Amino acid sequence: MSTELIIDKDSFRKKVERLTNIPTLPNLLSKFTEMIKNPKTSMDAIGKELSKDQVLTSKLLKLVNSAFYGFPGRISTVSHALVLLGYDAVKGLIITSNIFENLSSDAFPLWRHSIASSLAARSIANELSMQDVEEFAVAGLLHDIGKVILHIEAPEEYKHVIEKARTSGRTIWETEQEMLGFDHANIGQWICEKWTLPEKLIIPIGSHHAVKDASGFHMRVMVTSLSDMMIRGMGGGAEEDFPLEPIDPICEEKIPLTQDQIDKIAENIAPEIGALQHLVPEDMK
Amino acid sequence: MKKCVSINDAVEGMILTKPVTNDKGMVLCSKGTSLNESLIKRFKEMQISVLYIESGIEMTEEEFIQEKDKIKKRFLNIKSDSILGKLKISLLKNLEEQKETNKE
Repeated sequence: MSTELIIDKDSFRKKVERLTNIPTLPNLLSKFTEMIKNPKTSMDAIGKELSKDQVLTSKLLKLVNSAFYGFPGRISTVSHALVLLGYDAVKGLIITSNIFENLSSDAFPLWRHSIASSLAARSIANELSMQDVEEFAVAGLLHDIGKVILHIEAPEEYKHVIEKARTSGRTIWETEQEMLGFDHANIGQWICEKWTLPEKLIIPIGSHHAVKDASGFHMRVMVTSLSDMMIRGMGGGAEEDFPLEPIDPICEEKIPLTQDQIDKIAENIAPEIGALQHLVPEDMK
Repeated sequence: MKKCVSINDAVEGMILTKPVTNDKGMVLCSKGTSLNESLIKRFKEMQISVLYIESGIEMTEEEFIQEKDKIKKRFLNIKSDSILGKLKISLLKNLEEQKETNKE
């Protein structure tokens, strides 16, 4: 069967870079990035500056305080979020709270999958005694941001991709590669570069289906990939009925989790996956 | 059958099927406790977000087999000695446990 190119890669990439559906984001993010660069700026000052944007503040606080994200009712100000979660995690969360807002209802499973993956990533990172656990959680949250972009910018074409994957028995990202010439991890990488996210987030998002090819931050890449797979295994995949593909052997070697540890992680996340099943983005309050 | 609910959906009379613990793993309330308004309020204050409760619905043999099949199907290509293989074992164990709760 000939490959069917339904979206031109270059023009799609340009489209992604323009991203008309989230207009306020680049401006705010570049300001945020500038402030972080200046070592003299205090966290408190950054928190105050961000708080001037009321819409943003309320969205960010809603997300981190939701019963699902992991800090229910505990974070009351942007400065507090910065101290507790760190700059990079907050930056990722700002993006998340903005981008998931405009999703149509058929993308809700993707939203749930993202929240669940972030819980899994946090839980795995904790179990492995990693530092900066919140950054692992944000990478989990944003790992499928490329799929979100496809949903927003090319909904019809994307349905086509999923259908093709289902009938051919191949994975979604392989089918994307085959039909589009790029996959959702590539899109995630482009958009995160555009948003000037740090590499420790860009690489895990861009390499979560190509663990071996990652150019750095290998542990984060592996944890992001594993959290995605674990959630799919637990029935929290964005698209149902796709059997799991084996995880890269390097993960087996570098993440030597025991049965007891896996039991503990699964036990931690299972109730949330159940509770997430009926969640819609408006519930994140 | 064991079920998980958000603390916001918890109501008086629900029976805990798992102890409620704080961040440090300390047991705040034991398995088998019947919830009342003041307990629910206290859990909320302590930022407990989810509770395991007895759903009152029995898992039928048919549902059990269906769930088991779903898990097996998802893990079709996964070797049992891998990380994901361990997850499969974990999920099947949990499912058995849920079913066991029925018989208690």
